[in-house]
Amino acid sequence: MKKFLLSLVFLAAFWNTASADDLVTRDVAQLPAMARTLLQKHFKEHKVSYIKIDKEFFDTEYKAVLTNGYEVEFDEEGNWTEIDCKKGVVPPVLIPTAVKEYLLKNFPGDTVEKIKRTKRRVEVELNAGFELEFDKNGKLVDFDD
Amino acid sequence: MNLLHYTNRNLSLVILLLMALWGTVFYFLIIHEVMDETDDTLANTREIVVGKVLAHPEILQSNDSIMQRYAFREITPEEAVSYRETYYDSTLYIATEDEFEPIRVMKTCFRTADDRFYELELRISTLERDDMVRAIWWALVVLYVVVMLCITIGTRLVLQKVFRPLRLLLDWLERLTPGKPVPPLNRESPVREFRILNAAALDMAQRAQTAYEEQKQFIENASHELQTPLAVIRGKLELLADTEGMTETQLQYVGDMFETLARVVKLNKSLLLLSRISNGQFTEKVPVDLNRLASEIVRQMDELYEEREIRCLLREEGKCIVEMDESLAHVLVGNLVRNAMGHSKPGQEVTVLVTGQRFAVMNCGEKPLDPNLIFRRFYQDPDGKKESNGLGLAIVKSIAECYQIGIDYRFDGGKHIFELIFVK
Amino acid sequence: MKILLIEDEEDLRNTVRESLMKERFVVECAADYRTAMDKINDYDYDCVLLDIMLPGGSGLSVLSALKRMRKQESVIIISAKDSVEDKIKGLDMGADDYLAKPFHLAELNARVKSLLRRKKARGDTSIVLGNLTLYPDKRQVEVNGQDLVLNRKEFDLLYYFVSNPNRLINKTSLAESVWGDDIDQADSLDFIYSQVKNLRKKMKTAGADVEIKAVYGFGYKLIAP
Repeated sequence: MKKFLLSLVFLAAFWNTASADDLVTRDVAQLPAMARTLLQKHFKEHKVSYIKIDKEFFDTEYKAVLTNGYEVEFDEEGNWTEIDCKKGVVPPVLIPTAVKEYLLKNFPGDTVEKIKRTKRRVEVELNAGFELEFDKNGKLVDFDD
Repeated sequence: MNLLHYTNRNLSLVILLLMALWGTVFYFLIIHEVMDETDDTLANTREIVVGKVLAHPEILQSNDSIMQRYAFREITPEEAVSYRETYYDSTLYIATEDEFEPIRVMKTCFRTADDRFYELELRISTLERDDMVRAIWWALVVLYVVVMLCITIGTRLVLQKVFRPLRLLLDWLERLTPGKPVPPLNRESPVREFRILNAAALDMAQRAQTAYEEQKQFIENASHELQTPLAVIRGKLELLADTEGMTETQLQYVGDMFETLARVVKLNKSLLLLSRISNGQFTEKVPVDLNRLASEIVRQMDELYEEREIRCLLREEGKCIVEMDESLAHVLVGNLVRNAMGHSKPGQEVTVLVTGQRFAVMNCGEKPLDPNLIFRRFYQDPDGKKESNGLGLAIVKSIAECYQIGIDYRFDGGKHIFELIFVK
Repeated sequence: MKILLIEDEEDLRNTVRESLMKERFVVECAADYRTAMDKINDYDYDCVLLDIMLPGGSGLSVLSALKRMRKQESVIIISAKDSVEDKIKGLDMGADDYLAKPFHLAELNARVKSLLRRKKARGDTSIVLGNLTLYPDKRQVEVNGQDLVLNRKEFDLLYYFVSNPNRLINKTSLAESVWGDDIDQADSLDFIYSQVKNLRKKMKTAGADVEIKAVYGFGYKLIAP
């Protein structure tokens, strides 16, 4: 009997995720306000090609793909988590100050193609192909070419 | 159905139910997971395809018509505003294989740099999914069979061991016969319940045996104890009849008492004989010549019933020698013949037939008797004579049982046929 | 004629004694094993009637004591146990006859007399009643020296009657004596009736001066002159 109930719980859980299907809309209005502001402010020369919304168990992730191919990812509140500018340049204002200073000092000629941040780490990819990883204080913890 | 089969069947049912339930759940889980993966793959493909389109818009003109993996279609902005991404199952005709292949389709839309909207249709074959479903199904079937086999063999082995004391107890119970000594029973068992059961069964059997013995003994003792008082009454009656000055009426009364007393004496003797037979007091076995015995009894009966014009005829079709107590053989044959004679009417005849392995007595009758009743003690034929005490055939039956002689009654062609069957 | 009656049941003892005394026997009684042993040690008897189950010991021990003493007493066992084994055992030990309880006094009379006759007469066991002579061993009857032809059952009946002359004999007692006790009573009584009728006729024709008198509803009586 226990086994049976447990299976039912499992089943219910999966059905839940199945019904919370990934919803994609091109309508920017679906994005959180902060995300919209960011796109407006830093990528206003590009339009949004499509938006992908991943509704997971506990949080929702947003991804906006721009018509030039740039990809910007947001968390539930609209804070960006990843900006991938393919072969373009990530707007410097979006790069944390400490990281920016480190890059200016160590890689003065290079631009940032992609940046990714989590609560504890910040990862950047340079056009020269380097990948650097910093902690939240802007201290380099990993370097990879 | 024995315990083992019963347990097995119930276990199988429960497991079948559980497996069916689990199979269903498992199936849906897997299918959902696979669907999810498929859809994820489609979404990822979409990202790659759209990424490529955005980088190289010329791809829009080259629908992948060979592989038929994706297709673009330009849509109006209005259409695009209310566009909802969809996933669905479909089939696709494969010309080379001349069959329809199951596919999963994703429809989505995107905007290009020149502010035009396109619908992207992505397709992915789901043949693997069907294969998987089949594999899951077979896996479940195999699992069920294996589990059932294991459980069947397992329970058989375990239960056989566990229930060994029970089987021993059952064998023992089958060997129990009222009147025979209680066979020994091994009461030892590691299982407490079986020990209790064994002890209880043994105790019960011994008590039943004691009660049985006592009861049998009681009848025998009672019958014996009655003999002397009966002798006193009989003697006193004789003395009374012989006293001077008895009137004719008084003598008639005494005469009636004599006759009644004779019935009591006869009854008591029959009871004594019955209880002695069932007490197994006749153990001696000698070869008894049934032909000779029958002819002796037939002659006696014929003589006795001559006055009532009832004939008793002997037909011998074989020599019949039986190993049994001689006096019991006499009672056995005598009672059967006497019973037949006593129930015959003047002018009728009784036939006694002796063959190699059978002894039959036939007499005329109007309707069949109830074979379940006639051998019972004190059974009185409703229109029978009141002088018979209803023990004659009961004695016949206990003698037959005592020596494993088959006894059969049937009514055939207006004749009651009582038959003894001696099996060597 | 002296008879020792060994029987523990007082009523039966008295009854049997009275019956035997009517036949002019001298009867002494013993109620238990001890008394019985004392009596057989101290006196001689013509016949001993012996019950097997006695207080203080078995009647069979009394029997073996008698045989050990090489006494001439005829012994009739009267037992409540009517079993063939007991009968055979008793006869093997030297008893002359075996009578199962409940017996008829007339039967007991007949048996006692038969034994005593055999013992005294040494060969001549004939019974003479008036002009009728009965030879039990030869199964012959003579009236006035003339053979009286009887069938087997008629002879048995007459033998029983002459053993109990002038005694009222019940029908059932007669039936048992000629047929044994395992016969359906009603039918055997019919038979007795017709056989006695024939017997009376034959005796009358032969001119016997003993007469079998029918007592309605009870039985018969042999009247001897």
